[in-house]
Amino acid sequence: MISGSWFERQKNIIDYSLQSLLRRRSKNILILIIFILLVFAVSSVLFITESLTQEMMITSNDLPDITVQRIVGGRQANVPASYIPDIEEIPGVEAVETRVWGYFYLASLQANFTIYGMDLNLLEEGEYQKIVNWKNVPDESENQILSTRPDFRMIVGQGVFELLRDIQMEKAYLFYQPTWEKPIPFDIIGTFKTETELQSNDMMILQTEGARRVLELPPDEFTDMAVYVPNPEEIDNIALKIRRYFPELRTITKAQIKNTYSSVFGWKSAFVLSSMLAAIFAFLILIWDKASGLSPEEKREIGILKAVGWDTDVLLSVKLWEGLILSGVSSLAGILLAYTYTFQLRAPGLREIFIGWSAIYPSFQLIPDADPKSLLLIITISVVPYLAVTVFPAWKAAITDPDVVIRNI
Amino acid sequence: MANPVVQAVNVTKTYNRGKPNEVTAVKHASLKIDEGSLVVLKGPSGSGKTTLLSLIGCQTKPTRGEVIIRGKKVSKLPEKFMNQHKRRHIGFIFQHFQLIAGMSVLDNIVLPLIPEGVSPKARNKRADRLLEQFNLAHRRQFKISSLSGGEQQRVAIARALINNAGILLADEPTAHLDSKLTSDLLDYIEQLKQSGHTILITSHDPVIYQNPAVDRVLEMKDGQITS
Amino acid sequence: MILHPWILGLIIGHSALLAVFSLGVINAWQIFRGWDYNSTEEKQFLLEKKTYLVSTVMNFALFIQILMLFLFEMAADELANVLPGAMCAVGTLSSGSYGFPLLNLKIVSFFAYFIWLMINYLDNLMETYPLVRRKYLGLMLIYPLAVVETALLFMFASDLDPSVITSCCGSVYNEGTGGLGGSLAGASASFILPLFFSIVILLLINRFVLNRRNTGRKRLGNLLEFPLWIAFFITAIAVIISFISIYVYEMLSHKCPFCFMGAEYCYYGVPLYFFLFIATAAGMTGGLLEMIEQPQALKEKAGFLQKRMNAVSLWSMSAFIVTGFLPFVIYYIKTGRLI
Repeated sequence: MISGSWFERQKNIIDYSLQSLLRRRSKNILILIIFILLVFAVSSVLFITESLTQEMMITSNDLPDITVQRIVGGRQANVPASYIPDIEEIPGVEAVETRVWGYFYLASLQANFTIYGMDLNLLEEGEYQKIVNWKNVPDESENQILSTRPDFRMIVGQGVFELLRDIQMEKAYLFYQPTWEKPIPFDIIGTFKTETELQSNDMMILQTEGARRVLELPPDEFTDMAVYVPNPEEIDNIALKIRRYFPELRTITKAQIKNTYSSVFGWKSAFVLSSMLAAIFAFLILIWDKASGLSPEEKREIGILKAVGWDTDVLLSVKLWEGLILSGVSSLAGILLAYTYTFQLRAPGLREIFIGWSAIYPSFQLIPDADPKSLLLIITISVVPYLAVTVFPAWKAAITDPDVVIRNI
Repeated sequence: MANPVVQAVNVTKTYNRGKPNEVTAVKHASLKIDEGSLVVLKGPSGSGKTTLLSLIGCQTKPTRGEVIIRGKKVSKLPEKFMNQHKRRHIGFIFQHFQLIAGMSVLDNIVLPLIPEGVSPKARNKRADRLLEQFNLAHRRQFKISSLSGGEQQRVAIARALINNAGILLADEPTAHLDSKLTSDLLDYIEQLKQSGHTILITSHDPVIYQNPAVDRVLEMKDGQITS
Repeated sequence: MILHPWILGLIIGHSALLAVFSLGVINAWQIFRGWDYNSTEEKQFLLEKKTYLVSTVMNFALFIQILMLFLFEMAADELANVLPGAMCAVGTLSSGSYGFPLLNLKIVSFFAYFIWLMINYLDNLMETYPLVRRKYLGLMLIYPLAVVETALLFMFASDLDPSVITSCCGSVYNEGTGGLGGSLAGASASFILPLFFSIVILLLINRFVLNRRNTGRKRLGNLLEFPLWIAFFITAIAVIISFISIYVYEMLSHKCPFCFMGAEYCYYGVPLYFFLFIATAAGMTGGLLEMIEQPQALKEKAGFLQKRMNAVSLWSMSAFIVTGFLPFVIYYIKTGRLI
């Protein structure tokens, strides 16, 4: 008797398992489909979480090290300019920047925009120039009025722009607050490019002076302050000092914001996954049932194999390989489907769960990103329970006595 | 005198021990079969001859006694080692052929070689030789379910021979064959005997046990060997 | 408690591990109690079939355990995004009091499963299963590890609190800080490197001098292997923290044994730890096999297995040293100086 190597033996066993699966196509197809759907659901959730976290991580690098707000009566209140010199004096603080921002609710469109005030001239020159699609740039000769009104210019996010285009205001938007005598037109001089959509979609960046008008903010007050600290090790200390000197001020560090986002995304995805657990559990019961309920045909086949000299452990390997191939192929298919769904189709149905409080918010680009890490996680969630459930039924099947074939039938 | 290649010493096999449906199929049976001989085990159905054959064929373990195949006491071995011995020394032809219907002729014949780790190439080479010998070459890729009874019989014999085992056991091989196929089968068995195989057949068909090529006939009754 | 996909993954994996292990241990108990090689009762035949179940289950458990080791490290890394102050896996592990004990326990479990499977493999080569009772007793003794591990995992998960600021690798593996991590890092390279290499040299001497000829000292040499490999493992971890990591990150202050497992460092840590674990597991097994004396046939088979284990451990150790010191060599060639 010629005996082959261990590898040759494993190869034969895998080969046989594959054939055996294919011979029982109709029995396995249902498992395959359900498995693919489950993996697809789990992976979509993980992909979307990871992609959002990723995008959030990238964009939040531009966040100020410490954001300082003033809290009066439990609500956020405007910050008077008088705080600035005191905070600037704290050792370790490089700069204090004041910020002007707020929201503008447009009842006719039922949309809420984020208004942010800054010096647009800086935007035109600095590194941010790249992220803006410039348009309607005032031309000296033709558009005299625009160039004389530098305070009433703005750059808007893609989502805002599309909404405004629908109401024929893609060139300039007429802001109006009830206290004003008449509306003020703001010229749209550019839109943000799509790669920053998650954050910029509902944004309107106005020239600071114009923003003050729209938000009705007095001249020497600000919405909040951004404090820049060059040494990351000192951020927490300085935040503590600010709170200690001015108990009415609240500090939020960059890390806190990141953590909040991450845990919100993580929590949401785990919540969705947990609600899928019932489905996974039902599936496992189905697997158990399928695996333990051997048809007479299968029992006979195993009996024959035992009778021609197959060992229990070889049959066990066959059963486990069948499970591994089935679950592996389904996982792969499910992952690919989820990848397409999340990154090509932008996860319709799921994305609303993960983001979005404003009507136009959920129109973002998901950065295609599938870390091998998450593949490992998906495998753990899908293949491991599958195999764990099949071990015992597989053994039950594998110990079928060859004697049965000889005495019965 | 040739060596006994197969030996059963005082074997007893009881099924469902301690339960109401307890049956003792074989009682204190002993036999010796010499190298190269053709032995027939005859007896009415229910006499225990199939059980004895399956004990000798390492398909099940005796409740008492010893089965010795080529000098090795197999009956106490753990399954893995018993199987190893079985794969190396015994070819078994089952009563209902016991082929896997959904698989091709070739795949059925090579089944015993899969757990040995024989490569597909080597497997097919051996199988082709047997397919040629049993006039099955044209049926190589056919599904078992599309074969005639005689062809299935030959596939079953080919499978029993694929591992080059010296001992061949056949359980009621003519039970489902007409007289033409029975005489074909006898021809094959005679050929195998001439090529040095030790053969043990259970049968209650006189065509088999009265055949001149048979060296010995043992008779079983109520689980015991009577002659 | 943090509800997070990675925590969920760990819980699912560990539940599967505990479930299959429990199945294994129930059957191991039955085999341990009822095994009678000479019996021809159906019960004995069934027990024999159960040995296959236990072997399969334990193979599967080892597979999950390896997966869980990776997953745990990755989960810790991933969770660092959620925990304030945690920059990488170390932060997550040290945020509660269960992270590092759990990791250590997982490592011990890995070695225990590996050794058990090797002994099982050896025993299954013998027709009489001479070690059957002892190995199943051993299995029952390993089982509490899996139970404690699962309990620790739940405690670890419920202990993770996103509002508590934790420390990162910078402060855990900092000489100034106390604790094991600190003292491992604090053991400066000039102290730990000679220690590490003297253990390597001892192992080599053992292999090539004591073990070469079949003298009476061979037995002593092999018995020494087990403690030597444990020492090797511990010092190797210390070397990774205090020396190798510095050259991987090219920063004197960054001493983290986890960060280089990630994509940013081309998964450098994966082969590094793979070789370390395989070398140690094989080496320890090789040493333990020396203790098998009866029966003679088993001893011979154990000898063969021991040779193979010894070869595997030696090659893996070399691979570990090459992988581990490669960043140092590259840095030295590039800059011509030490950090």
